[in-house]
Amino acid sequence: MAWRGAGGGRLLGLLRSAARLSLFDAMPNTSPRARAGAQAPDALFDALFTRMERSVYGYLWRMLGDQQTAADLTQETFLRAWRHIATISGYERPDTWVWRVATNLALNERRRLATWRMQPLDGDAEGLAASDPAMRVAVHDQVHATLLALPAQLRAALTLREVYGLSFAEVGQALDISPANARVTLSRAREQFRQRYQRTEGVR
Amino acid sequence: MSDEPLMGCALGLRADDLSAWRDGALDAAAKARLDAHIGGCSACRARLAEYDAIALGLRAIPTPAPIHGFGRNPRRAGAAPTGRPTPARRSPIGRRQALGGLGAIAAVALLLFAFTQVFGRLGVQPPSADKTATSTALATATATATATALPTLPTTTIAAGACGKYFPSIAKLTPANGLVVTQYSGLGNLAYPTVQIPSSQPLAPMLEPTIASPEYWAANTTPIVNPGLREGGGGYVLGVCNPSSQAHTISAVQVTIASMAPFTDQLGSWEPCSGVYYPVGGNVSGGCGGGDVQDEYMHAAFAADAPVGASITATQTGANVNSSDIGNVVNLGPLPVTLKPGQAMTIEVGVTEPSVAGYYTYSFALTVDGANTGTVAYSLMSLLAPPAHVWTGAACKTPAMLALIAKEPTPTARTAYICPAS
Repeated sequence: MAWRGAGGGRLLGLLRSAARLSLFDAMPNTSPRARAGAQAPDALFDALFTRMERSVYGYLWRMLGDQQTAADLTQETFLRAWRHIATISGYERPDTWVWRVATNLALNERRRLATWRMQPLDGDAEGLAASDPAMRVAVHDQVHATLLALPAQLRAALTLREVYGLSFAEVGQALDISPANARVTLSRAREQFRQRYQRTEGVR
Repeated sequence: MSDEPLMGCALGLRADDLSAWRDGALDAAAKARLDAHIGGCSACRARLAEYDAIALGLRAIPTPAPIHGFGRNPRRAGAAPTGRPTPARRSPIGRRQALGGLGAIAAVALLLFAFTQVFGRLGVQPPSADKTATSTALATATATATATALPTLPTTTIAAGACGKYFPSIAKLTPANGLVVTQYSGLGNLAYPTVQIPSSQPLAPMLEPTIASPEYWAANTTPIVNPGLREGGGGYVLGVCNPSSQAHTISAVQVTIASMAPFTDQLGSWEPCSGVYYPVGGNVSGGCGGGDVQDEYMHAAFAADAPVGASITATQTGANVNSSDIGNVVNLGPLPVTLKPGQAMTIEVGVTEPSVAGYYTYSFALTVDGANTGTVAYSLMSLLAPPAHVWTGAACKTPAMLALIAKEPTPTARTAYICPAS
């Protein structure tokens, strides 16, 4: 894939994505299993696309706060899903695979921006989006602003759980962390969100 | 912090425990212990209510449609299912051609915009969403598809100084004759929106529409329904700042009906402030209140039959005499107000909506230095319709409803119902 940005980021991105692709194939709870009446790949893909396209876009919009990037990464997510449809069609929960790809792309987009601009990952108090006018974030929503200020992994966990209804175990799969870690991550995300939101409420 | 016991919780539970309970991540014994405890612990319930609020807030984040519309199904676009990954990003031109010209783009974009207003804004329902609610949402999408597509407003980035200290640096600002304007908060600062209950819902107790009852999620996937639209606690709030080097005078606010699509279904609605009924304990929760402090309070009263395009110059109904939200200027008095360089103010505009039920969007314009700015902000689309059925927690306390609730599965401390009051 084409990673925009500086050379170091590009190499890292490629290495990471290569490592990730092999991980997908070994995802514990989506392991291939022979299923009676499994859908044909075309039909399965069309169903995934129809069912999830807007959700994935909504997720990436929440994660990144940028329409164009969210649309691009949505397209990229489904392009990857189609390329790997033979593998995905054996999974019990293809949706989780799609969430995981979208999550990786979102986290990588943040890393790419961070590397490119040599800013700290998940800048703390302000968040990358807030400190970076070049992202042209058109966010005028306090809730979204608070979400964008959270570290990316917490943001992903909270959004997948509360907006898209993934279980905590599925959140773990999407983020490539253990269920126990997902549980802790969700708790941290909620607490950080509360505290940040309470702080920013006074700004208005 | 999440590893400290909650203040006032007799069991010494931590936020972690409540999160895990909410996520269904506890083992059976721990879950039973919390189930028995939470109903009677106000500290725990308060924290869980905050978590519910976060969930609702996240779902309600407004989601704009993709600039070039949604992408094409890559399978139908002829991508190879296997083989070498090729760069395929940033190809809006290709997408345009694929959709067959600008006319098609406009049509598709309009439809998608409407869909996004309904589905995207609140997130698409989880797979378990029930069918009646889904069909209501679909009907809603169809109705809103006929609403006018609104133009995109020009936006500007503000410097960290001057106006940046009053508006978060991520605020979307619209240039307005030397001033910049933003609109606050996800609901456009509207208070007390109600939750639309599907018209097909039987007039019997139903579980409170929260994440705890995912089958009713879809009840939340509609536009904002009958929000409070009165200034002083529920109007549209415009933040206005002067980033220029000269003073500018704001003398008027104009409100226009920017789009409307009729609503023909029967509206069932539940206002969360009206509370829920807890079978365990037999209590009804609820109660909201408080207002907000802005510099100017204005009101636009539309005629009962006002059509799209109807425009009203808002009348002044009050001006703040306490400290301003914005903080740098106090007691501005009523309009006209002159903002010096670097000064900011807030204007809250309440609306008396037309009586024709429909999905409404309003636009706002200012008069600055005697000239109309044109539209500086749009409200989010709201469904404004008199409810055929109002649902409340208190309505569950009638003998008829109590009898029905008694037939429901054994409730836990967190089980909550709402019932039709009319």
